[in-house]
Amino acid sequence: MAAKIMASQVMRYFGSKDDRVHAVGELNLEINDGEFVCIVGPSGCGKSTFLRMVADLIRPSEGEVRINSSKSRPAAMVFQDYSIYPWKRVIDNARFGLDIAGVPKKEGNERALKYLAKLGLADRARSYPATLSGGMKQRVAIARALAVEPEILLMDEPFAAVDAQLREILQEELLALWQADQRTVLFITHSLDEAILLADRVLVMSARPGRIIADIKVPFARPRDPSVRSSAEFAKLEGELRELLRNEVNSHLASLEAK
Amino acid sequence: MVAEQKNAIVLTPRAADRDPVKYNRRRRTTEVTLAVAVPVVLLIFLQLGADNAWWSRIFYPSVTDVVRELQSMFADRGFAYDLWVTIRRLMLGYIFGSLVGLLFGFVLGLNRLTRKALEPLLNALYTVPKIALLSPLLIAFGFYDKPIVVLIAITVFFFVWVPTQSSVMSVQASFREAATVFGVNRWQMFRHVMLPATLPSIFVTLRVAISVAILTVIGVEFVFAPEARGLGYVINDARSTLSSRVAWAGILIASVLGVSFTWIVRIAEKLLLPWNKEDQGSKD
Repeated sequence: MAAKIMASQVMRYFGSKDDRVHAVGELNLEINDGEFVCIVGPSGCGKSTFLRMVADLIRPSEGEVRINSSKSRPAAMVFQDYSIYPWKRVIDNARFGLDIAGVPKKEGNERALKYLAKLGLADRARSYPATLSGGMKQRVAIARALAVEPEILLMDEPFAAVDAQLREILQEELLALWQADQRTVLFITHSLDEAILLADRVLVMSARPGRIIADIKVPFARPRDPSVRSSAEFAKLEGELRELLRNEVNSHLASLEAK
Repeated sequence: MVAEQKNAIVLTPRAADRDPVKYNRRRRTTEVTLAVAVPVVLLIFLQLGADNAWWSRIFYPSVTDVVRELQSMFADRGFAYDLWVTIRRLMLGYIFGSLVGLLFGFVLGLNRLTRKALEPLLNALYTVPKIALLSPLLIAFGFYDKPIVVLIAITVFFFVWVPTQSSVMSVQASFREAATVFGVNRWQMFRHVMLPATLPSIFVTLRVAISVAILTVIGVEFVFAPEARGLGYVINDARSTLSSRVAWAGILIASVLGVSFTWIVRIAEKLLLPWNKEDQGSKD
């Protein structure tokens, strides 16, 4: 399978010379077309920074991120804080990417409504976001990203701000949507359970400066059902990942104390 | 109900919970009644006070005195003309100053290079008392309308430019990023993100600027009296004729002007910002 996203020798620093922070790197990785990849790692390890490089919101300080696509904007992004616009109705928010792409309004409305319906929001299409709950706002943000049918879907802790029950429902919705038309997905999360349920591959990043310390294939078959959560294999994998991250955080803390 | 059972808190629906539609309708009626009743009571008090000589009628004329004075000002002394020139100056200066202020606010807020180039200069000019510009403006434009309009515009410009720029610069970064990822161009970023994100605070600014504009026009007409005419001239002239009725009539009209202008801006705000509910409490 062809690589969709390739990072080679990527480094990213923040700040000026004197108090320069080495945030990410060196990163070398390939993500295949149609692959669902979850990235886990300690807070501040540069997961979001990497995602933002793929979205071309920031550039690497060194190295290159290559995205194989004929489009200039092949990715859509779902932000942790939703970032849907309070001044647009739900339908207009969901249609936003299509408006920018120059899709005629009628067709845009149909496509936006299709994804709103899939996410259970069709009856709120005319509402303003101020009248929606947090979970509903996040679903509008997901619909907005899906409506452009992007080659790459970038999700930065999209379910961090919703409650546990809704989170499971949204995970299942996302799983079903992705299985229907496999796109390349890069998904950042702190929840190992979420990562294993959704991903083909889980990338584990180190504490700052963020590097890939493990690249784990998730063995469960597709289409995957949320019931895999209760299998022994699932628990074993989650335990391994947890151990890996705990060691990483501990050694990072130890190295900070030593300084 | 609380008495029946000790150590228990019993929470029952209030009127607002049982029938919100009826409750909201009643509340609105009460609010409108209050908004009308308070000024009416005050006016009645002022009338009674003057009629019964609780204070000197010469200094503080009654409501009917002021109304009668206004009638005669309109009928016999060409007050309509003074009012008209003031409104015209106010509108021209306010609209022109606001537009340029918005333009500078957006350009400087969005473009770092322009900001670095112009901000120090504008800040230096900002601190100049605008009334000091009267002399050079007068020399440049002569008496009458032009220097007055320009001075109002300059005053309004600074009041609009500063807050507009700061609200443009404080738009949530992820609002911009969400649009960037979809590949918006400059115009689309402005129309879909920056303008709607800043409009609520811009409208507050535009409302504050109204009172500044009125202050300026009345003040300048004081200074330019009697040549420039206008509402400020009428109020100022009352001094020389020792007619407090005329002065109060003029002040009343100035306040009516301010209220009407604010009202127009509020209507525009309601029409343009349907998502920005003033009263978040009453969802329907």
